[in-house]
Amino acid sequence: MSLLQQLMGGEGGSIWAIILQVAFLAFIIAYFFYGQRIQVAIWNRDIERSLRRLKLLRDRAREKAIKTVKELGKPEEDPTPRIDQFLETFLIEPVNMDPAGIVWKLDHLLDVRDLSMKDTVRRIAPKADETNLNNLENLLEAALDLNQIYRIVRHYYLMGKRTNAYIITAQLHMILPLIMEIAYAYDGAVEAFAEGQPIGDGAGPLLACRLLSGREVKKIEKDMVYGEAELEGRRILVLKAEGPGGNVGKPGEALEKLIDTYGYRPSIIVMVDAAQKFEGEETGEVSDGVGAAIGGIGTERFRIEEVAHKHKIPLYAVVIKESLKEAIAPMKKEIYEGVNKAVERVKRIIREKTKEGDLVIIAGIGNTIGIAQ
Amino acid sequence: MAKPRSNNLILIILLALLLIVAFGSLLGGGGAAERSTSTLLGFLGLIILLFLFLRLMAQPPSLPKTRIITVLRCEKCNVKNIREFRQGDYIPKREGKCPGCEGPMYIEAIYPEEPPKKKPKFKF
Repeated sequence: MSLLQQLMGGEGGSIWAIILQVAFLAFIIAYFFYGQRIQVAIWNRDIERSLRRLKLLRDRAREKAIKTVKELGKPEEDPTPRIDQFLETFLIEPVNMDPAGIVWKLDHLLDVRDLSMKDTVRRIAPKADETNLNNLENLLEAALDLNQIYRIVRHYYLMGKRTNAYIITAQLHMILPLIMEIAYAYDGAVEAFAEGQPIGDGAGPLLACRLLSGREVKKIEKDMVYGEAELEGRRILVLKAEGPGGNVGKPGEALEKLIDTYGYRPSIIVMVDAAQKFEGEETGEVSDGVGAAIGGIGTERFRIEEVAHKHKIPLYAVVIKESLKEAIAPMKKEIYEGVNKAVERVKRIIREKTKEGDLVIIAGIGNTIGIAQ
Repeated sequence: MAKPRSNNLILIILLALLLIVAFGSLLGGGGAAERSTSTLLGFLGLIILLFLFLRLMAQPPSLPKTRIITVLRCEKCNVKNIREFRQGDYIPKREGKCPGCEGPMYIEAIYPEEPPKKKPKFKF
């Protein structure tokens, strides 16, 4: 019988059918013995793809940082080598074997880091004004974070591959969607910082800005301002980071100064901040509670809790809900609407918890990029 | 966003075809017809495998770029004006005069313009 006849499924049986049966059998046997390896190869392939994307995001952020520094800072020398050094900087947290006093040590290190970063930005962008300097610092920090994410993912990917430690590859693959979400958020933040657009975290400063509209403001602490206004017949002191440059300031130190140094004795302190929502919750929803509404590493919250406890001042919190991604991406319309709702919530708290003529401190916490006072 | 849906449709059609052929081979007689059916079944199986593999290897869709808009509001008559974001814009920057009452305008909001969201199927 000719080969053509066999191929067409002649009397001797189709050669295609035989090839297919052998191929399926081989596939089943291969999967039986090498199933796990095939699975790990698929995971590795997924991680590689995400890693390529992370590299792209990292490189894009670096390029954007270099371009913006050249545009706004007009340096005489090429800032690229200095920016590359900046992207590799790190902070060693204080030892926590004996945790007593760790907050002040950490606070000191954060101050040093902040000053050092500002100094570096000033050197690489000598012609930038204060607002642009703060925006550039934020932009470089976002690029630094993207670089850090890329390096960590690459480290675990290569380590898992080199040592054949499937568990490392599996864990990395499982948390990769969350890591990518954070990386995309930073990518959005890079654009916002370069352009000076308000970000989701600016909900607190935006509320403070609305309350301070048309009022005189004074500088109080490093990168912090405050102003006096009236709300529901009460005297209010409104505190926020100094904008419109990218800044979070030191609200804890500013509150300490207002209360301990300037001698203000508020009946209550109301803190307004953007807070992480749970999945399924709507962006821009508003909630209120008790405590210091402030994120970050914890040193500022510690100071605020200390001063409130020392003077027995009730501490209330109003939060505008948003995801981590929304907090560092350009501010969404829903968050603006959330700020309007938060103003009403603050008014309600003031009406219920104080009486006319009382003094109230309202602190708008968050990054004030794109939001002045 | 429509691509994953069309991919799912192709997969469903292929699976349906596979089931029809398999069912036909069960009802059909032996001999050459059975062999042709087995070959067809094998080919369909291979196509599905190849299709699933390509889907597994496909790049995730890139994120769409959004337009950032600046909302200006008149302090006097409250009229709203929307334009594209420009570098140097910030809240509450005073900028220009109201086209209606000549009153001062300020930047009220800066946000990305997003397409309207679809309502989720199940509201928890």
